[in-house]
Amino acid sequence: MEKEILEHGLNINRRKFLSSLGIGIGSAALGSLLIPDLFGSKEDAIMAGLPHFAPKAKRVIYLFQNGAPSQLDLFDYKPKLNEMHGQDLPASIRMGQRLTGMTANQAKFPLAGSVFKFKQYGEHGTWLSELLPHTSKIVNDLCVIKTIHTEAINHDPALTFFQTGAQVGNRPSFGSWLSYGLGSENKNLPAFCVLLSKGKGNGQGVYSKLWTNGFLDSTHQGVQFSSGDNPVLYLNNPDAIDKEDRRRMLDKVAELNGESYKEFGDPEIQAKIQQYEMAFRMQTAVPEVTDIRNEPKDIIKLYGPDCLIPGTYAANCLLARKLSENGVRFVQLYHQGWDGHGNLPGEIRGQCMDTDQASAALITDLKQRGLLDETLVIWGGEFGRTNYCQGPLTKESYGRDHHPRCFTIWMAGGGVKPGVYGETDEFGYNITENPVHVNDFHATALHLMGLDHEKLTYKHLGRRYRLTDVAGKVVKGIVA
Amino acid sequence: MNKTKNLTYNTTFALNCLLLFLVVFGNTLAVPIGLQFVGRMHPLLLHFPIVLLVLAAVWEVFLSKKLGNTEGGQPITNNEIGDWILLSAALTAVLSALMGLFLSQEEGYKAEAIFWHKWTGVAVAFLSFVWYSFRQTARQAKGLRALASVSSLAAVVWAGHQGANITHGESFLTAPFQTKNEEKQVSADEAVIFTDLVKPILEKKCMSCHNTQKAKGDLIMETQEQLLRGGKNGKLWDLAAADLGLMMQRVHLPLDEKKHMPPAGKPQLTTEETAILFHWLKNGASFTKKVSELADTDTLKILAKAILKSSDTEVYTFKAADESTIKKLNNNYRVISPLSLNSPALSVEFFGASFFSSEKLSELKGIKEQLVHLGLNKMPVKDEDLKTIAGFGNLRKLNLSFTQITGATLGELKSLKHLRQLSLSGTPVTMAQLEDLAQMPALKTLQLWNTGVSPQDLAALKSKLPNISIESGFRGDTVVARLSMPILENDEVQVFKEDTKITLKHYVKGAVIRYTLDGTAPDSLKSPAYTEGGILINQSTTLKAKAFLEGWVSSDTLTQQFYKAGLVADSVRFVQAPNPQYSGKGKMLFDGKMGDSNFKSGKWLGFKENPMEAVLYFNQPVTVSKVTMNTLVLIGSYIMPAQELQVWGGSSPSNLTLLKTLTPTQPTKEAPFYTKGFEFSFPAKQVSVLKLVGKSVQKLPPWHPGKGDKGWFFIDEIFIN
Repeated sequence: MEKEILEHGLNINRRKFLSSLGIGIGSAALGSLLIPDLFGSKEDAIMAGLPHFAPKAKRVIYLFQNGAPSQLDLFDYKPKLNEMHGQDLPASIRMGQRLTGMTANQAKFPLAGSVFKFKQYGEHGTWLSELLPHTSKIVNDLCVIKTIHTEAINHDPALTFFQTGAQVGNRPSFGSWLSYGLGSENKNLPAFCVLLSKGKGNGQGVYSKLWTNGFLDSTHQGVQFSSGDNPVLYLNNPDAIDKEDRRRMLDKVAELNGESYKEFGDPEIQAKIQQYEMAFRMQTAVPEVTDIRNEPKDIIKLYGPDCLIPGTYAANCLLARKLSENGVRFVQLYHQGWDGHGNLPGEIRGQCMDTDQASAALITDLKQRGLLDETLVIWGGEFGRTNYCQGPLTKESYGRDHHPRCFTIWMAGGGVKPGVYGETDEFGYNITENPVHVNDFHATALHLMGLDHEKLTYKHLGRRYRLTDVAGKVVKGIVA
Repeated sequence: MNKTKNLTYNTTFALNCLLLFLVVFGNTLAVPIGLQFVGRMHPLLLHFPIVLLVLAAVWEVFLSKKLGNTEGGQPITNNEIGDWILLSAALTAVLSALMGLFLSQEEGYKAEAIFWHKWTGVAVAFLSFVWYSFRQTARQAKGLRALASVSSLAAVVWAGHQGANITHGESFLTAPFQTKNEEKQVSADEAVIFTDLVKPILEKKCMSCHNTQKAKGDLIMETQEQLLRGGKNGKLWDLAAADLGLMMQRVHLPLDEKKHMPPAGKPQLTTEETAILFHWLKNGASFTKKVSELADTDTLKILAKAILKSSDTEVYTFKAADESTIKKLNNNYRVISPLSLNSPALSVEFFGASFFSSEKLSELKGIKEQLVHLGLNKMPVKDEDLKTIAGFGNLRKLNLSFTQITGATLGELKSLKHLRQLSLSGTPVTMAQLEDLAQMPALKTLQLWNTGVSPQDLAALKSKLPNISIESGFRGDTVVARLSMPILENDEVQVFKEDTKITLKHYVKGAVIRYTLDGTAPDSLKSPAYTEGGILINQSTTLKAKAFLEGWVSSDTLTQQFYKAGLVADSVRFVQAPNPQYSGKGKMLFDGKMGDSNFKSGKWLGFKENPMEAVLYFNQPVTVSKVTMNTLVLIGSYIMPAQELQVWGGSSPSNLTLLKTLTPTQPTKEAPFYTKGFEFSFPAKQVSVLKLVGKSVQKLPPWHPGKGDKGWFFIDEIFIN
């Protein structure tokens, strides 16, 4: 046992020792054969904590619309569906696409045209439905990507894929990768914050595995802020403990942890010490940031009066702006309630009432503060919805099932080229030009943050992992 | 054995003579086709003399002696081995040289390019032959032996290197050591189409065969003249032709076609590269045209933009700051970070207003050269601090929003010649102060939201600063928005036993809540305004409340039912159990907790297949005159008002009389969720048992998405008075 402890203390084990011994010279020679510019270029020595090249954006705010909003009722205008309302989806279009258990047994797949009116807005003639009156005002800043596609067809794997780059839930989250790759900007706040809200529509769960650090150091884990008086749980000092007491206690604990680190050499102990220290600094920083009572009335009108009610999407958007402005690298919002399997028109109307104004307000607000060019804002769900109806179809009402082959998200701000990217067929079922896979989306977002997605790696269980794993390419067409 | 040796030696000699002859008179001879085939074996055979000569040198210098002295008595044949190695080296060397000569007669090899390779190759052949001829002498004299080895080796290495340069290109060997800095530093605005887009492709994919040293097909692609001249098959392009001429024809041939360019096995053109060549030709094959001269929609411009870096990525040429200085200045509240790896430019952000002071800012003088981004958002920056900031001459981006500057010293910033973006939002700067900014040459973006500049001024300012895009942001006074509904703070009092207090809340400062308790709509003038103390109620009540505020549209009405808890049944039995998905315990009907729109919360009981028949038992007979059932309607989820509701009462389950029946009105269209309490009033009656019946809708109406299906009936609370 003592031997093991000693080895661990040296932070080296037999396998590591032997492999590093064997690799030594051999790997240098082999490496130079495989990678010709191994000795020529300094840029291979990637230092975690710095962008690889000049970034377009410094921070991300990801407005995740959990449950999958219907692209066909919001962005992807398909008059053909209204023309063919009620007719069966041609098999030549479906091309054997697998369906969820919810509609796989349906005898018919009647096409459902959107009940909402569409209009073109802005310089780029972007189509938007009447459900997004506020978004239409900021459309010149948006890059609407109509051709994002994913591999999963059910919520949890699709959501996990979007958030971690893999469908199984054991990889680090998008935000954790950024925290690892770029470090935190404001050392008094977590680099990765998570905010949750819920609409009235049919909802799907979110779980903390979506903001996990995976195999990365636990300092990169997302910190969930809750609504109410204590945005970060257990942050306040208990009764009868003041700041000085807390400081003395932390110093003592750090000392003990330091001893323990010397003995065992477990890097997690260092992480723990850092987390205690950050929590101490957060005790001052968090109340300062999360206090929305003193926001001017213009801001309340901009985001809508709901932004003062803790836990609403509007409040979270406002909070996201405040966190981002204070140097939080990645703010992740989740808004539930978009899973419109039945009564979609009714539900999506409510969802848009809750989200449209605040999403648009966030863009306007960042812009008027001179922050939009350094912040990347992303809006979107985990997949799209089908062009055919789930359940009974009427003129006013229909449901839509999950559709992974094409859906719409938008990006705005840091380095994004405004406009419309990609095109789908007249049924809104397949992509006809410029597909963007989830891996490509990640690669592009990392690119905007100044990171090469192929170089941002972490070695775990004997191989290097990336957010995009073994795929993904930067979509140049959406980079300004 | 000796015979073979002699024969080989003589052959080698003869071949060397031939070589000498060819080297001297070679230029006047034509090589027959058969020999071309032999010539092309040059790259195959040339490896033999290299290896054999190295082996011969090693053998002669190091190994032969040692082996020779070991075996006592036995005839030592090591010289024999040495002879054979040397002889084969000489033979293969002369053969390679001959083949090389034949190969060089083929077209495409320029005399000057192969000059050194030719002569060193010939030297290798002669040297190895001479060495073999005088091997015995060399074996006696140490110095001679070393000279022979070294000179042959030197010749073979030199010849080999020259040959490799012909095949792989001049810089093949040293390329890995040259720092790769091929990333084009030219921005899309300045780039010349030919120099920055087309030429790099030709260099990468064409010139390894079409250069001065190796001009396949008589084509050299290095200069403009050479490109215009074309090769032996004629001019490279013909702008009048539909296919734009020879070059594009060759590029577009299928890969397995012999004439496809670049040839199979060589790095191929990518789709983008082919497109660039094509569109460059189509655009007139100009050697001077700039990318910026193209229309924005031009394919070539779009391609160019994807390849060249956009003009907003700046390259900083100043020296990096001292690392120790950065370390000293960097802390948790003044975060200094390089823009990117290997960039000398620094970005500084201040966090935590209570930690800011003017000194903290002026300390940055140590990195004033490198400072390009400065974020002072919400810091208590004073007017006099702008003088310090003006000293940071390389600033590109400055954020002063919501600082305490008044604008009086804004003119100081004029010295920032590179400043591109300035944010002054949330400061009281005025029109007059801003006019000075016209003198800032690089300024492109200015944020002026929430400042002392009025909308009228703004228009004037925009015309005065035509090159600057001014972001004026959102103005609340231009928008009329609706207030949000008042919020019921203590929703646990929806069912109360004794007199209770309702407390309401509104988050928007200054909003007035007005309410009624009689079911009428609240009025902005007549209805009482809500006060801190709350609203006292002592009986079942319907509250309607609405928020009002000057400059806002009044809110929607909050409608909330409050029930005074009445009698509680001692036990409840359902004739048929509720649907297992939505089945609380019977007590749920009297738990004082009201359900909301979440029908899965466990606060609701749901019935679909079976009607609800709840039998309520009282241990002591009670007098009842009013029963209220609270039910849910959520049309989208198939939860409808009941088809029919009944209240029965009597002394025992077998002895019940129907006290009252209600037939709720069914909705006629989609409607948002609501809950409704159905009141049953009847003449007072003493009962020990009450039976409540709720029949769910059997067929959903035709307008409903689930038409024809059964509807649900949901109930959560019962009040008996």
